[in-house]
Amino acid sequence: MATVVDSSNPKSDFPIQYRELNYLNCSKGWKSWFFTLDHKRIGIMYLIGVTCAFFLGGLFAVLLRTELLSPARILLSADGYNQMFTLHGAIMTFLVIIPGVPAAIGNIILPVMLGAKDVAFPRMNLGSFYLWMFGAAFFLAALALGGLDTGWTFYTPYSITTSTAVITALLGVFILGFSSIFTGLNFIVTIHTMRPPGMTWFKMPLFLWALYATALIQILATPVLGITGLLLVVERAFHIGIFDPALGGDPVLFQHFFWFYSHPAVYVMILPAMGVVSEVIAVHSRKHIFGYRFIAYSSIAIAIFGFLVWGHHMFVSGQSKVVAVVFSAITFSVSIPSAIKVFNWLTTMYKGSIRFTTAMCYALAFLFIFSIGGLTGLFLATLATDIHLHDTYFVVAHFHYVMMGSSLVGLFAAVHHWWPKITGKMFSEFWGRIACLGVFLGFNLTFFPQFLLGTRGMPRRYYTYLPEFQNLHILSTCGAYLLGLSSALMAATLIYSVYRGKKAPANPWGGASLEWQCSSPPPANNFDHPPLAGDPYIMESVVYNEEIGGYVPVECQGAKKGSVTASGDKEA
Amino acid sequence: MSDHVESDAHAENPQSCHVHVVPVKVLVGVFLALVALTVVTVEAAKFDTGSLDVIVSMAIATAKATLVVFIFMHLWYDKPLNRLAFFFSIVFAAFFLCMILLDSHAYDDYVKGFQQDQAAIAAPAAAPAAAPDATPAADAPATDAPATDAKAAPEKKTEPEAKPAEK
Amino acid sequence: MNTAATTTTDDHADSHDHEHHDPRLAHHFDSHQQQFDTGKLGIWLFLVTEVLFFSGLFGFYAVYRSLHPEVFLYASQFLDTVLGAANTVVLLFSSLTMAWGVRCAQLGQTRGLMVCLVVTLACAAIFLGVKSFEYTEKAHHGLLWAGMYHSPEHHDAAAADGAAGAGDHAHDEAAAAGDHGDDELFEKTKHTLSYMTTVLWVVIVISGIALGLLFKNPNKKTLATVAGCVLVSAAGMVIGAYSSIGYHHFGHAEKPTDEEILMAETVPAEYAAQKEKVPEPKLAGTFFSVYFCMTGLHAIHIIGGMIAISWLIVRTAHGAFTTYYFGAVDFVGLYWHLVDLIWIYLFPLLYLIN
Repeated sequence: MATVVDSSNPKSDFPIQYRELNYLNCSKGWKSWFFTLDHKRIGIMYLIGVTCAFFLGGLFAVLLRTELLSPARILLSADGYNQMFTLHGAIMTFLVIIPGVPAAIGNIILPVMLGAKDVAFPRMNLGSFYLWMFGAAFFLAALALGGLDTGWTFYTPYSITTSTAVITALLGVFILGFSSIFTGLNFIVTIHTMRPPGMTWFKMPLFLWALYATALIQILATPVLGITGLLLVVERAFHIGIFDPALGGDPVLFQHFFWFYSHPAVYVMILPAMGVVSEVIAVHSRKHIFGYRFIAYSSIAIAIFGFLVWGHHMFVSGQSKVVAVVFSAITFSVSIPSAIKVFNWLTTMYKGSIRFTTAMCYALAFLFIFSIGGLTGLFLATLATDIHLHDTYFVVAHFHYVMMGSSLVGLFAAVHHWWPKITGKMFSEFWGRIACLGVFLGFNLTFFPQFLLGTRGMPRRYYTYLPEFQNLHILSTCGAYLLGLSSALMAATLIYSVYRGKKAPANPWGGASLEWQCSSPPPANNFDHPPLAGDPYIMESVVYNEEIGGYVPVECQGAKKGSVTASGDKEA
Repeated sequence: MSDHVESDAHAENPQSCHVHVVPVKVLVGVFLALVALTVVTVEAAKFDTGSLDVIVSMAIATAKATLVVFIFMHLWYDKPLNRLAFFFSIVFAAFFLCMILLDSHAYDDYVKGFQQDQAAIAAPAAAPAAAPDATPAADAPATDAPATDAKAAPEKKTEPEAKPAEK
Repeated sequence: MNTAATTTTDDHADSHDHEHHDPRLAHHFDSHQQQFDTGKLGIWLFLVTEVLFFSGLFGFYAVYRSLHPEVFLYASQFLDTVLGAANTVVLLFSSLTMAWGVRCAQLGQTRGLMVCLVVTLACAAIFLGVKSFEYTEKAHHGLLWAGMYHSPEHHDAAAADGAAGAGDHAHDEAAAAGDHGDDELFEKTKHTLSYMTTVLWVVIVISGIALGLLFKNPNKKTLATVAGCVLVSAAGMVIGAYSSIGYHHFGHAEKPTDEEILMAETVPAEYAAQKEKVPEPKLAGTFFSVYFCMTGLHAIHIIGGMIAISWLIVRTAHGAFTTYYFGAVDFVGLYWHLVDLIWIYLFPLLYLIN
């Protein structure tokens, strides 16, 4: 049985592994959840919401893929198809990926990693969650009020003339934008003002750097999305003639407004996942992260470059040639910090003692998928190639490799990595790895054929296609089914562990950052006294202890058994 | 005169909060300066200075904004971080505006061509009395502007994105 | 499991930190200084988002002014510079009182803080009152956004036709109609005002309920202060609207030849007499789209600021602020100055185009 060790027991030198009273059970009743100011509970609520939205969006995706099994009608009408892909895109982008890692995982982990008791503005944090709920409600209302068929990008002039519920959906986007802004604002302020003694900027875990860079984008870009959505609402409701060419408006201006937010938003999605991977790879390779400063700076560099490249969505929209060339050139430069990260992760693994835990498997899947997704981005950044590939399945495959295959796989890695900390339970590694394999294979089976489809000229967002594309479409659909099933298996494994899982030790993986120093799950106020922070990647500072089933600080172990060496890694 | 009063009467008290207190004289002085600048900008607008007009009024507005930001909003005495944050917001807003402006004339030629085409189409149909210069469309702006039937070149590009094909 | 009892008590003791029981200090902060600095950074970042939020509208403005400068030149003459300038000064004054209020709060002068806040609130309301008159006037003359825009030239043409057809008689009638139009405008302004007051009541009541929920026991003092805030706001708006009506009525009658003040409904008459008659450009409504979007969003921010200031007034009445806890005043003040700042740019951009 898992031995519970308590510091209040004078005979034990180990830190507290498990507390009878933690943030999950310190108070009861629905009120204690819905009005909580505890960042961990808010994060849990976010996680549940995001998961529901993920499966709803996933359901739409499966329907879409089923429809595309054959060029003829199977399930959906042509209009139904348009609505499905719009809602799939909108839900996955605004409700799942953007809040996924930062708002759900970040909310739970960031203050604990910082050794703080809470985020800087707990009420605003709760408000941000309710705004998210409210925005989600607007999306569902849009679904009920005649759907939405503009694509998640809401391009004008079609979005002005269509009869579907554009206004409802845009108000949803506006509200979700503010939810995202509040999360970002909270994170920046928390990181600036609530770091514990000893944690300088360059002793922060890289996940925090990633969240910081993300929050910068959220703060600077999301307001523009807010005003864009608002202007489009006003345009539809009152005809102010800003985007409507019939009134002298400029539809391309909408694209500028939209992508000024939405391209940086792509980095809101990917940067936190990169932060997760930095943590996971270092911890599960039992090795100090390689090139810490480079990874940290590259996060900021990506955030800044991310602002300067939005025009690459508009190479064929009629923007001026000068602007197109500038945007193309800057787009190439984004690959530099991304590549820096990938090389540093690879070098971190070199000669590390890699354990293929579920979290690590997801991180490796991330590396593979992100490399493909990133490199195909270069094809699209090239002006000439983009003319051929624009609005084809190549684009669809590219951004799914980055958004789904990287961001969401990063989220999965994060969930598995911190699951013991969040719930206090260990999940089944076996089923976790099976699910990970399924996700990896299913994902590639779904989207790799789409690269081929795209280069052969299959346009995106089409309800039907030429017969020669059918084989590849069938492959892609099979992959989508596998992906859906594997995600369900992953969710089932995790949920099962909550009820039947082993109790988790405070530090099951041997991480050296602060969140592993408090018990699993953490108590309501995280730390009784602000902990002293050191380098978060000195993995030798903790050693495996069989009695506990997890890692303990080397000092404690040394006091107990003098024979354990500092680098002793007792796990196979 | 404008020496800065520090409100750390509670220096030893843990309940202290060190901030800069701006003297009343400075506040009132800034207000008077702002009013004066408002009068100046209103008067300046009466002179026709051509294209300098915008620059002059924006310069005065920026002077006013600077006063407000640095004195009323205490940014002069504030932490560098807050100054940096505000500075960044201005930089980003300016960058955004510049890029949009840079691009806003990109399809002037298309629009002009479209309007000429429209005029050419309209001219034979209507009486030859309709003058070919820009004014004829002025009376019916809503119906005649780059409209829905024949898309001008820039709009044409966005169309496939917005309208997915149907079966 | 075996050590449950000890950990439980431990947790309990720790979750209520015994070092300070100061209700003004949130549990996750160590000191008032930290709490203040945190809030300050937070509000500055919020202002950053506000700047970028408005940048979209400034982008709208910049693009259309660069594309159609003649539209802006033509349409801005329908805006009343004097009212705009007066509103600027009112808003600047409210900024002064707000900054003064922050100073009072820093020095612990509760009474001074109260006075400053009330004056700020009243100025905000006056601003809204003037704005409501301006909006009503624009709507009255059909000077609305692009989709609803009615060209003043058409009024002009209709009037000219009437005059040509029926001679002197029609001319008198037209003059009578002009007077009548004026009265109608004032009636409409009063209507707008009553609408706005109703909205204000609703807003204040809702926020009052919200405050009541926050304060747990909404006592008589709170209710009285909220009512006072509503009264001040309503009075301010009435003052603003009526003084602009007065200005419009008398100021205009005194100086009918003053070409700088081109009142909208006088334009058709004076316009015809003007030597250099600018033809109405296409898309003149776009200017009013810009105008209503920018000033409308700004007005929404003013209303938000009024709610925040009312909240400060209620808290001041309860003596919530001390020399070491005045963050809220400072932060609302910063927000208020930003709203002022945006108006400082809006005024020349919209009213002073020559």
